[in-house]
Amino acid sequence: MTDRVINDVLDSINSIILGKEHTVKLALTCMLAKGHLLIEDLPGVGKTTLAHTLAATLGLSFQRIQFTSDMLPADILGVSVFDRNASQFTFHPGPIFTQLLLADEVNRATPRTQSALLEAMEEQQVSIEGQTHPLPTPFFVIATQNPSHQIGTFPLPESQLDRFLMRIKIGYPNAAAERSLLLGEDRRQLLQALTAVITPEQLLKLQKHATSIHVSEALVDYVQRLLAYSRESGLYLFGLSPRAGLAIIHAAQAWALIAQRDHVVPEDIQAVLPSVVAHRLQARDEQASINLVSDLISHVTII
Amino acid sequence: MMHKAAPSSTSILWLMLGLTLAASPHFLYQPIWVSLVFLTAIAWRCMNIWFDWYLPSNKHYLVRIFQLVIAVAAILAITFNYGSTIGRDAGVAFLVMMLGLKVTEIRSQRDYYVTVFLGYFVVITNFFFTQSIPMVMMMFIVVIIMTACLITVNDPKHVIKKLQIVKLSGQMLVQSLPIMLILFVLFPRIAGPLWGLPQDSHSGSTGIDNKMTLGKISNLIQSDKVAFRVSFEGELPPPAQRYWRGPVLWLTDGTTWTEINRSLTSAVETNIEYSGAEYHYSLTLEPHNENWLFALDMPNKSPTTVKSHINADGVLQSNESVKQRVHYQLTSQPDYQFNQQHEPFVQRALELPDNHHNLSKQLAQQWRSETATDEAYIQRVLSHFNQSDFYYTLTPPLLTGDTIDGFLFNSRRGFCEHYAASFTVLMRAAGIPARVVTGYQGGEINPVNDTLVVRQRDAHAWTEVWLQDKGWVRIDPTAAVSSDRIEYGINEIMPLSMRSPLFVANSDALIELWQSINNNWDAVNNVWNLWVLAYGPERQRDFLTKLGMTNPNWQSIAIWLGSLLSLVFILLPLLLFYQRQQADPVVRLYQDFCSKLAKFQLIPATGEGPNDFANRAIKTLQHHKSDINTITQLYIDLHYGNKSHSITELQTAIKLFQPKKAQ
Amino acid sequence: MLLKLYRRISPPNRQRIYIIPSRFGFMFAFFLLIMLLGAINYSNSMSHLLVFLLVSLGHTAMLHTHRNIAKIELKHCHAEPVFCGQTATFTVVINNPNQRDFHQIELAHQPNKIISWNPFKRLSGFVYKNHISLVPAQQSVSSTIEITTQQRGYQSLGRLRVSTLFPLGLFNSWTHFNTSARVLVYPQAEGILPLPVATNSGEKIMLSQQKGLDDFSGFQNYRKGDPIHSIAWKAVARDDVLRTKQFSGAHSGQRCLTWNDTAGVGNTEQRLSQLCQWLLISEQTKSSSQLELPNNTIAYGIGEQHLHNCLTALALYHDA
Repeated sequence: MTDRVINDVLDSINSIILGKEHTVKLALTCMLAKGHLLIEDLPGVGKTTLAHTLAATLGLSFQRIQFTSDMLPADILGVSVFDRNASQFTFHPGPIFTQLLLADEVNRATPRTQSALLEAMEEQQVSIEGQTHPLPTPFFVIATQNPSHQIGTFPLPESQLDRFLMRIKIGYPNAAAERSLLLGEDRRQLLQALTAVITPEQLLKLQKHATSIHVSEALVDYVQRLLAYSRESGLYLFGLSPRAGLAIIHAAQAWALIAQRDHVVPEDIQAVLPSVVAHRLQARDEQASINLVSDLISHVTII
Repeated sequence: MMHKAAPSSTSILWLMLGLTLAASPHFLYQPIWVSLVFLTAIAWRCMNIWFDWYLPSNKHYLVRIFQLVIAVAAILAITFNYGSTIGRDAGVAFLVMMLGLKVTEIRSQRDYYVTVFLGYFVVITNFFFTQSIPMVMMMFIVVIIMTACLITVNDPKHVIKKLQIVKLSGQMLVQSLPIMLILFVLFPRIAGPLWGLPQDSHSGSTGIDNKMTLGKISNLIQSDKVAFRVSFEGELPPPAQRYWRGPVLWLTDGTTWTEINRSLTSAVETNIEYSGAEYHYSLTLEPHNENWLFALDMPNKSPTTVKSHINADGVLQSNESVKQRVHYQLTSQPDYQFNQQHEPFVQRALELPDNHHNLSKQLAQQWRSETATDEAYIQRVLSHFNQSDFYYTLTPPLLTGDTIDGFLFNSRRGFCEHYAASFTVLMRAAGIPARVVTGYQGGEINPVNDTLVVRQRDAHAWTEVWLQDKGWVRIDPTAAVSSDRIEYGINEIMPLSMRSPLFVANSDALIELWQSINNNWDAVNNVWNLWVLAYGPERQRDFLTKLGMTNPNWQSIAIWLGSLLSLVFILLPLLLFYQRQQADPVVRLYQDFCSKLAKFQLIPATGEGPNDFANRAIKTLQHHKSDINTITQLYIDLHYGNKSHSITELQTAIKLFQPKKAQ
Repeated sequence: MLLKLYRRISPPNRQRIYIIPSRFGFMFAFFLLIMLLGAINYSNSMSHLLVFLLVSLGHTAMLHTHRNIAKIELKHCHAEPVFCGQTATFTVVINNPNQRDFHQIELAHQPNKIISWNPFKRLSGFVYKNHISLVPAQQSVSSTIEITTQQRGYQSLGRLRVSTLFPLGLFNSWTHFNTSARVLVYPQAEGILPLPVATNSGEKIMLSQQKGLDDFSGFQNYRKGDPIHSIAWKAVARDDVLRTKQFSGAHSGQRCLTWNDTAGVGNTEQRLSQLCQWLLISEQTKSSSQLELPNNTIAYGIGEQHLHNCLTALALYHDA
C-alpha cells in the first residue's frame, strides 16, 4: 500500500516539477522525516511551485508568508486583541497556523522575526502572552532563501540553520525539462487542477512508518564515524552535533521508505547526507575549495 | 625522552612485596640480624607510603654519613660473622643488606630499575642453596611480581588494573618460555667453575663421614634426606645384599675410627675376584662434598661418566669431591673374593690402642682360647650378641668412659655403629684382622618409578674380617641382634612417629596415603634431578646425541640453536601480532568477496557503499551481474537488514563465486 | 595461507617503526651477563634457566613494545591561530586501529630539521611535549603539542615522533610522522596610536538604516536589569504587566582601518601590529570595520569570521 501511495505522490509532483526527480524525492523525504525544509536558490527556479505542489499533493492546508525586513513576529504568529464585547483578549492566529507554511525569502526578515518563526517550528506551538497555542499536525515549514551575501539580507545564523532538517538547492532544469516547461501549460493552472493523492492522516501514518525502518548497529557505527570525522579532522570549524546525527538517521529512514526498503543501507545515508549536513558544516579554511560533504563521505569507512 | 617522574607508591609497594618474597628463603639460615635489617628497611619504606613516615633524603650530609656508617658497619659485621665477604653465604648476606639499604632510597626511575635487577639477582642466589621444585615455583612467582613491578613503573597513572598487570607479566613470561627452553637445552654449557668457587659454595650437604665416633650416625638416622637413588635394569638384589659400600675404617684411637692413610694404600694392588649374579644399575648420588661414590657391594669396574677408580678398600673413589648431583652406571656382583691370599695391611687390621677396652680384650682372649677356629670364635661372638640381652635401638643411652667396654658390659643398647665397632674390637683382640665398613644398607623401593631410594637414615656400619683363603668377609653384627634391620630395612624398626607426621600416624589409611604421596613426589624429584638439575655439559652431549645430532660440537649446536631460535622469532611475533581483522563473520565474508573482485582492480573505495560498489563491479564484470547482485543483496540483508537471516547462504554464494574475465 | 597471514599482520603501507634498547635495556643486559657468568661458575641449572628466561623476557618485551605502537596512525593535527608570541597548541589526534590498547604513548616533535652526516643526529632534537596514558583499541585520543611562536605567518610543526617504552621500559620504540600541520600566527597586537574615529559614511546608508537604534521591533516581558526607560508604560496601564520596548541591535558605527593610517608607527611589523590591535578593539566595541592593505582589502564586516579574515590578511602580508 505504502509503496503505491508514495509512488503516486512522487508521480503527481513530478508532473508539475519537471526534471527534478531527485530534488522532489529529497523534499518528500524531509516531509516523511517530520523535518523542515530550507530551499536555497535563485529566484525563479520553482521554489514556490515546489512548495505549492507538495501541499496540494499531500492534501495539506497551505499558507504563504512573504518575508520582508519590516515584518514583526506578530505578523507570523498572530496577536491577542482586546475584545470589548467579551472584555478579554482574544487570540487571532497568524498565518503560521497551517499544515504547510511557505516562508518565502526568510532571510529578508530581521533576525527577531526569523527567530520567532524558528522557535515556533521547533516547539510545534506558539506562546503568546503566556498562552500556548498548538500548531496543527502535521506541520511543515518550507523556507526559501536567496543565496546569501545579497544586500539587505539577514542570512540565517548557523545555530538557526540547525533547525532545518535539510537544505536543498533546486538548480536550473536540464534542457529537455526546460523545453517541455516552456512549451507546456502554465504551471499555476496545473497546480489548481492538482488533487490530493493522500490525506494528512495517511501522511502521519507514513511518518510513523518511517521511524520504524530498521537501523542496524553497523549503520549507527557508520553515522558515528561520520560525526567523529567531522569533529576530529580539523577541516570543519565545528563538528556535527548529536542533533545532526539524529537528523541523518531520520532522513535516511525516510529515504529508505521511499526506496521501499525495510532497512537503511549506507547508500541511503550518503544520498541524504549532502542535504542534511551541508548547512551545518563550515570549512575551517575558507580559502580551501573542497566540497565539504563529499570529503566527509570519501574519508569515512563504511564497514 | 624519559619521563623523569619518581616511581609511584603503588610500584614501590609491588617492589617491596617482590623483594621480600625473593629474599625470604635466605631468612632461614642467614644471621637473624641481616634479615632484621632488611625487613626493617622494607617496613620503613612501606610506612613511608602508608603513613607518610620520614625517609632519609640524600641531600643532608648527616644522613649521608649515617648511611655510610651503616654500610661500613654492615660490611664489618658480615666479615666478622663469616670471616670474609667473599664466600657464598657472606656474599648473599651482603647483597640482602645492601638491597635493604637501597630500598630506603629509591627516588628515581633509575634507582627503581637497579633495585628490580638486584631483585632478579637475589632470585638467582636462592638457587645456589636449593634448586628444589617448590623453590623454583616460588621464584617463578617472584619473577612474575618483579616483572609486574617493571610494568607498574611504566604505567605511572595506573591506567591498567592491578590484576591486568599481573596477567600481562605472566603472559609475557609464558611467551618467553619457548626461547628459554631452547637456550636451556642448546646453549653450549661450559663446565664451571670459571674462576673458582668460594669454599662454602656447596656446604650444607649431609652424608656419612670418613670417620666414625659412636653416636655420630644417629644424627643421620633422623634425616629423611635422600642419599642416592638407584634404578636397576632387571632384577633387584635381595634386601640382605643391599649393602652400599662407603669408606672403610681401619684405625681407632679408642673412640673414633678413621681411614688408613691414603698415600699408603694407593700404591697397593688389590685383588678382587668376582663371581655370581651381576646387577646392572644406574645411581644418582646427591652431593655430599666428599670423594667417594657409593656402589652396591662390590662394583666390578668404575663408571665411565665420572672420573673415578676402585681403591684398595674396594671403595669407588671419585677424583673430585662430589659437589653436584652425579649420575653413573655400574655393575656389581655381591659374590666376590677380596684379597683372598694376601692382605698387605693385615697388621693395621689388628691394631688396638693400649689401655683401652681392657675388659673387652680379656673377654676376647678368653673366648678365643675356648674356641678351636677363627670361624667358631666369630660364631661365638655373634651368638653372644644374639642371645644375651643386647637390644637394637636408635636412642641408645649416652656412653661415658671406655665406650666399647661400656657398651658390651653395661648398656648393651645401641645400633649398627655400636655393634660394628665393638665387634671389630673383639675380633682384633682375638687376633683376627678386622675393619669397619661404613655406607648404607637397604633403601626403599618407590613403586611409582621402581627406583630404590636410599636415604640418610639408611646409613649403616658393618665389619669385615680377613680370613686366610677367604679374604675379607662381611660380617654384620647388627644382623645378629636385629635381623629385621637387615631384612626389612630401617623403616620397619623405626617407630611410626619418626616415619611420618604425627597427624597421620594414627590411621593406617592415612599412612598409606602419605606413603604414596611421598613416593610420587620422590619420583617427580628424581626426574627433576636427572633431567633438569643435572643438565650440564655431559648431559647436554648425551641428550643432543640422542636427538640425532651426531658428534655434537659447537658448530652443529650453533646451527640448531640458530634455526630453532629463528623459528620462534618468526612464530612468536605471528602469535603476538595476529589479530582478528573483523569480529563480525558477515563482514569477514564480504571482505572475502571483495578480495575476489580485487583481482580485477575492483576495490571498494573509502566511503563506497556495497550497492555502489556492486554497480561499479557489474560494469566491469557484466556476465557476473546476477552473482554480484545476489551476494550484495544477501550481505546487505545480513548486515543492515531487520530480520535474522542465516549466514550459510552468503557463505555458499561467496564460495561458489569465481569471477573470470569476460571472453 | 602464510602469505595471507603475513599480509594480515603487516599491511603493505605501514608506518616504519624503529626500536632500540633504552638505557635500562642495556643495564638489564649487563645484569644478565653477570648473572650468566654466576650461573656458569656455579654450574647451577636453575640459574641458567632463570638467565635464559630473562633473556627471552627481553625479547618478548621488545615485541610487546613494538606492538604497543604498531600501526599507530596520526589522524589529524591542527591548531587554532594565535597571536605572535603566544603558545600555539596543536591538537594531535592519535588513532589506534588495532584491537588492542596502546599504553603510555609519548609525543615529541622536532622543531628544527636536523641535517647531518651522522644518522643518529637525526634521532635527536626532539622536544618531549606530552604523554598519553591510554589509546583504547580502535579509538582515537587527542593530545596537544605546544610550540612557541616567533613570527607571524604560517609556522609548521615539523616532524612528530610518537614513541613508547611500555611495557617494561627496556626498549624504546618510535615512529615519525612528517606532518604538514601548520599554525597561522597573527601579528602581535600592540601599538600606540588611538583607534581611528568611527564614521557613518553615506555609501552604507542601507546598512545603517537597518541597524538604527530607533527601530522598534516589538515587546518583551520585563526582565530584571532591563533599562527603565525602555519600559512600555502605556502597556502597563492596560494590563499591569511590565513590558519593555525592543529595538533592533545596537552598533557603534563603522571604521575603515587603512595601511596609511599607521604610517607614523615604524617598520612593517609594527604597522601590522598596530592594525591588529585596532581590529581587536574594533571587534570588542562591536563596530563594523574594513581593512585596507596596499595589496588587499577586506570589506566592511563584523564578527569572528570577519576578524579572522582581517587578521589572516595581516599575518600573511608581504611587502609588494
